[in-house]
Amino acid sequence: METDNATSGKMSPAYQLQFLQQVQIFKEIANDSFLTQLASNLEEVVFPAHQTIFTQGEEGHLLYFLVAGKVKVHIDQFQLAQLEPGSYFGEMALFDSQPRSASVEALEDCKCLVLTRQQVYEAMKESPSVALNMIRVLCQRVRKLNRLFGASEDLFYSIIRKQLL
Amino acid sequence: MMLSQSNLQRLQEVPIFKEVEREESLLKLAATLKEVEFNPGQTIFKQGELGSSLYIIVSGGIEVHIGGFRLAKLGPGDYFGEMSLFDPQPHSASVTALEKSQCLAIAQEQIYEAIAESPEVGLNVIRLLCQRVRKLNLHITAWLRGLLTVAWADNQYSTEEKTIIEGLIKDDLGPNINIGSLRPISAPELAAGLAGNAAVAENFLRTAVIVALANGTYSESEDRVLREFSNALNQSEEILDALRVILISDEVATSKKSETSAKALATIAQQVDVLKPVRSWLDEMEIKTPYTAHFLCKLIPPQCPFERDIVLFGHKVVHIPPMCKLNPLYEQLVGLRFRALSYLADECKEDISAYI
Repeated sequence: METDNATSGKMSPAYQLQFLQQVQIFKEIANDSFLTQLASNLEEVVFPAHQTIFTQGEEGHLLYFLVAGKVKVHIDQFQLAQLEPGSYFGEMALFDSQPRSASVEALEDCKCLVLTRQQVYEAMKESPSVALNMIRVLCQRVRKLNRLFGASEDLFYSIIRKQLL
Repeated sequence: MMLSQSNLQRLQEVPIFKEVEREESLLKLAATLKEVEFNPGQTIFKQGELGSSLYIIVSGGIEVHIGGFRLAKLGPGDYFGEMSLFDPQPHSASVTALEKSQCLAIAQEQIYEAIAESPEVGLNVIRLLCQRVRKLNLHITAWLRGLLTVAWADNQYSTEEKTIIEGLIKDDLGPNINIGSLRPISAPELAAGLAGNAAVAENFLRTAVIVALANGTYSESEDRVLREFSNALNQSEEILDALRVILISDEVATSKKSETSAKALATIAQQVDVLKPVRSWLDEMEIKTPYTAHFLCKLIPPQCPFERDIVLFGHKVVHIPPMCKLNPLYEQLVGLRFRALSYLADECKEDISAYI
């Protein structure tokens, strides 16, 4: 994805559309005019390096799409993920209306496109594939977390074995 | 039509169909539901099979199980198989009818249509999944840090340990995970992290006891940490009280005298059988995942290990007498290992020759 100088200057609607089409939850959307319309309503936000985008426990109703730069998702000091352009974050609090489940901080200068809860709900009404894509992504995450839960037990064997040999 | 009306009510009791505005789309779905009947003992689906249906129980009762181990018993109004609707994967457990049972089945295409008709259904599913992800995130970090706290009960956090941990969880959490930030957890934090899940709390404590026992001794610092955890998790102290019989002071644990003292303790333990609660507690340990099974197989030696000196976590030196003499819980540990092996061979169809 083209990201050169992406943090400076406003993106053209055409570029925004092209960007959205690359995002996992908007892939294979049959209704093209819907994405075009969505792209024309997106707000752009810029975060300088090291700025906290949101903090665990806060209320939140925005979904962020990372256009340029890198961010880290963390709970206290424990880093859960580092995200690259094309990723999105903030979906948990947006959907279940609970406080932010983790904090997100810009690792470098970042540019994001932002959707409100209302816009996301509208998008899902317009195009159910958006909801299905989101469901698939979340199912994968649940499976991955379940696997990790089991793997944490393996971890202890590996520590103990290493020390015994 | 009557049938559809009652089916509609059943649908509305399932969380993913709650608050759906357009009732006619639910009614449409209710009319196309397949009614299936199962006889007592009949398998509804088997672990490992690919599934893509949600079942709602209308009458009767079913059990979710892995081999002979029951994970849950479900009755009228309960539902199962919801994950496989969206993400068809081999089932992680088997489901068998306990009595004559009637279920309503919803297939993948039907749920896709329901979402297309009523976006609320899609949103409900997303909300439920978000809640599950939140819970799992909390449980995992707490579980991981809790076991680390037991393993490191009397030690510092070394660079070497960090390297080992990185190697193991990097694959699942991505290459950029900051392992240096993984630190011991306090008892209240652990309780908050495992909150609302009694089964996870109990299983955590069992695993933690095994981690503490696995090095052959049960030390004061391990006992202290386990007690704090047990209290915070509202678990019975009975097990830990019984374990005190084999408790070895930190001083003795690091000296060569441990063999004689441990043997003496073991003899006492066998005479009074104060360890009975611990025995049954270990005997009840759930083996639900291949990971748990592998963990146990690797952790518990296949036979009496020879005497040896070990260096643990860089500086803890322990002299280990043959396990069966030292450890009055030997039979339980071996039994646990046997169940883990059976699980891997029978349920997971894995080759276990590496462990024998």
